[in-house]
Amino acid sequence: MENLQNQKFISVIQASILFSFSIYAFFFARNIDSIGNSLLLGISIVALISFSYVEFRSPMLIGATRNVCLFSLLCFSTTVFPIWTNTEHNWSYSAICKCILGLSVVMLFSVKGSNRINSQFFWIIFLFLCVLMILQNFEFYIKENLNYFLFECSMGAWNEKYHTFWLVIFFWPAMYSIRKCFKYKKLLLFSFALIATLSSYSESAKLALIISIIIYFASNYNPKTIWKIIYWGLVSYVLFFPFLIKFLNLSSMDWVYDRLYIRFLLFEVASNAIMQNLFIGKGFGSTLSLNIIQFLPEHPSPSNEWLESHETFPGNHPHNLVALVWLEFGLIGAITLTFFINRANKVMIKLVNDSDSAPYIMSIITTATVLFSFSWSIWQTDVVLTYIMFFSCLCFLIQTASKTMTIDATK
Amino acid sequence: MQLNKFKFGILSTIGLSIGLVITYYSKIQSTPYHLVINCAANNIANSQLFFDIGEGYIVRHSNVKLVEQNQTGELNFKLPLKKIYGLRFDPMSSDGSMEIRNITIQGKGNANNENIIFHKFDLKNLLAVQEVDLVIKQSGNLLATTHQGCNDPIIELSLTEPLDHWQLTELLDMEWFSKTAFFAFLITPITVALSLSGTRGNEINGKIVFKVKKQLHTLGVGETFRAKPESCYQDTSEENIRSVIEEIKNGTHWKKAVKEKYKEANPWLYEIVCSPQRTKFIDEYIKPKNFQILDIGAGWGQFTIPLAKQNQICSLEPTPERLDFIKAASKQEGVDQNISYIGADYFDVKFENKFDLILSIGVLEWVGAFKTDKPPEEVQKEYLSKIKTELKEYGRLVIGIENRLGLKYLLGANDDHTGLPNISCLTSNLAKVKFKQQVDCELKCFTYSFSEYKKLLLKAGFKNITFHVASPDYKLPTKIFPVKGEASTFNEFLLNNNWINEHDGSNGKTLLNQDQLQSVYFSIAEMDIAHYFAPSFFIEAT
Repeated sequence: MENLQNQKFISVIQASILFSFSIYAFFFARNIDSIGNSLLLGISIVALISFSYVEFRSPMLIGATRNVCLFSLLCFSTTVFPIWTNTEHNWSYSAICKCILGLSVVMLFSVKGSNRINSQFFWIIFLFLCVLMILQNFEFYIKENLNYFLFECSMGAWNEKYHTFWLVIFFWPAMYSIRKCFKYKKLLLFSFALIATLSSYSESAKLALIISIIIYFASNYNPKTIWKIIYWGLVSYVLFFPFLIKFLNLSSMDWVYDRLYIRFLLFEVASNAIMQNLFIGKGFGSTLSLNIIQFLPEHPSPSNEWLESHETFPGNHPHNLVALVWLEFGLIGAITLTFFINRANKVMIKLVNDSDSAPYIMSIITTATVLFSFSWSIWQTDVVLTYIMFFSCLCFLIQTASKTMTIDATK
Repeated sequence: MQLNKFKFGILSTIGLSIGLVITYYSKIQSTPYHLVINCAANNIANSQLFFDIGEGYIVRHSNVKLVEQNQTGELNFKLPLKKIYGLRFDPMSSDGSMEIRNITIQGKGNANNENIIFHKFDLKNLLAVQEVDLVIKQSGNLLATTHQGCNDPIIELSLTEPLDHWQLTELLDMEWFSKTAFFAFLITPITVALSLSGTRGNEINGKIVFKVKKQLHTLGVGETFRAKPESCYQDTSEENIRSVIEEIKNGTHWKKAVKEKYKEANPWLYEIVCSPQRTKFIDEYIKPKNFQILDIGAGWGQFTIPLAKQNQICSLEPTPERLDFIKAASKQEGVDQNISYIGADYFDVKFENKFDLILSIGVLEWVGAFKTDKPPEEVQKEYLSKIKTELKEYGRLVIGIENRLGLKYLLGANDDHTGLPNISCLTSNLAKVKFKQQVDCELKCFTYSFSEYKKLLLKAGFKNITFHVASPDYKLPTKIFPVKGEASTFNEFLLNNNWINEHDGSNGKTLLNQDQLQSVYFSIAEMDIAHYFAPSFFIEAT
């Protein structure tokens, strides 16, 4: 029974973190490190306190710690060895700190919680976020009113994008937590998520949601094949990113939708820059101040001129996580990222056939891949918080899947 | 799926109240009333508008806007949604002049969200209060020139009567209604979902709803339903039980009545019925409180009665006299108002309710025995599948049952059900043949091994299955050892030279080969596999 109490306690803490982050994402996130740092520190402390109260034995801890160590080592190397001349030292240290703090939060979600509490809380928190977003998007002026009364809420496109990203990531664990509930509840959650996302500003989030829903249905039909496609797709995408972009000659596709075309240009700029230091990259944090003018594609377009006026990447990042890894760590980084994907594959191979959470895991991975391919490639705290919450949701799904596996292993 | 109307009512009221507040404030936000000054200044400066809402002109009730140099434009001051008694305008915070073309109060006035002018100030009526000169130009524009080195130039915007555009009724327009309707449309499915999620079947009115032969029945607490089962399990004669019931009705405590009847004649049955050890697993591992419990094959009510103190029980027992015994004993214990009694075969009853906990203690092995149309193993599978459908989302099934590979059976102890040695430990096909050879009738009662139970439960749709070793058996467990993954504390217990005497499950007599049993157990415990050869299990499945 003590174990049951622990599970309840963990679930309550997990739900509290999800709730706090949802509130933060909707009302306060504004791309300022100081506010994000407070939240990151706060939830990490809550996670660490929780570990001191419960018996913590997660098989995922060792793996996750090793991965964080490997990443930190790579970052650290770029600050120490002189072959990386453009490394931003402070940026590296702060990114490593964020990862270590985030590890405690992610690990909290790898601990088995109470299914009953999860199914009661997760969907309500998710629905709450959906309702807030819908009300805000349909001119109920929630934030404006709160500004008038209580808080200084953050408004604008960036904040909207931020909480929409979180919504499409959170969608999968929320749906998983109610997988055994009435169809009505699932339909409700699905409809609200769809309305909230479609009425929002972020097109990446809309795309991520649609693709991940397709993946979900396909993986229910044939999980093994779908996972194989996802895995090999990811590996090829990571390993061949700069060559692929070069080959596709994206800058010539100026007929595409303007916001997408800007992304294409950014990828091509990144690809050109990667080729300069293909094997080792330019060093951690170097993208922040990378002068992109020399790497601009030759194809003339108004967007090209717009980019030229920026000198560095708009928002100081290439809007693609794989591009960022290639830019800063070169082939070494790409191989490391492939190694992480391979580790995930080892876990997934065991899960795809026997776990009811496998389609949800594949869908959340797809969501993140789409999101991080069009945005969110920087170690700024609010963005890192999204990584942390994504990995937390992923761990939550894998942890519940592993539980099923333990039983099935005796078949 | 049922709707808790009370919860729905409460949630809807709360939702709509919140909705009214949100729509009211959103309407206020979307109904901006502005003082718009169309002007151009010859110097960059701050302009400030003060509004008196009954507290005089104070900084807190003012708005500041930046005026660009030599740029004609509109200064847009948002006005509070209150009655305004007076307006003062400080045109520039520095030296300079401002040409004012017009001053209006505007707001969103129609369904197309277009701004309309509510009030237009006559520039001739503006009054220079201090540090500013006002001149009407030929064009009709007003030129306001602040004094050199001025501190606080002030123009009074004369009002013939207080401005009061903001009546509550004004908010009740189409926009307000459409927003309220949208909010209601949004909130209603959520309140329905919340009311549905809280619905717990028989909790609504304490009734059990079920179908027998397609006919719907509703059973309240303390009520009894009886169907005539084709055949049922009996461990003693009907007369004996009836006489015990008579004793109970005459005021003898039920335990005393059972003791008097069976202590000498059938001590094993007496122990099984009266020993508090019987519920050891539930007491230590499940601890149910406020649960909806279905006790299948409730027997003598060994689980029904103690659990009914804190839970609502549906006690299903096909043997009529045993059901009567449970009723009499539970009434004596004062828990009959927490029990619904069903006298029927479990397969004949289709529950509309879902349960938090279903108990199947000493039942699974027997379920095939009373169905002649199907192989017993098939019936056992159907039985578990049926249970799965009648459990709530996170409801639990608890099974108490023997292990066919229990060491005592492998070493020749009698089977608890047939009373014969060396048969139940065999696989079902061989066991059937051997049984037929020995007693010339069909074997209908089957137990299984650790892995076979797991397979059986997984096939029935259970996902999480936990085993507990019950020693010396599940009927009267002295000690219970959980099995976690591939390990169990049962092995450690044996390796520490601890021992619980094993008995013949058919009569409770201590087995004579305790040394032999302990010796083999010790050896297999060293390999960490003794729990696979335990005499019986409690199995928890969700």
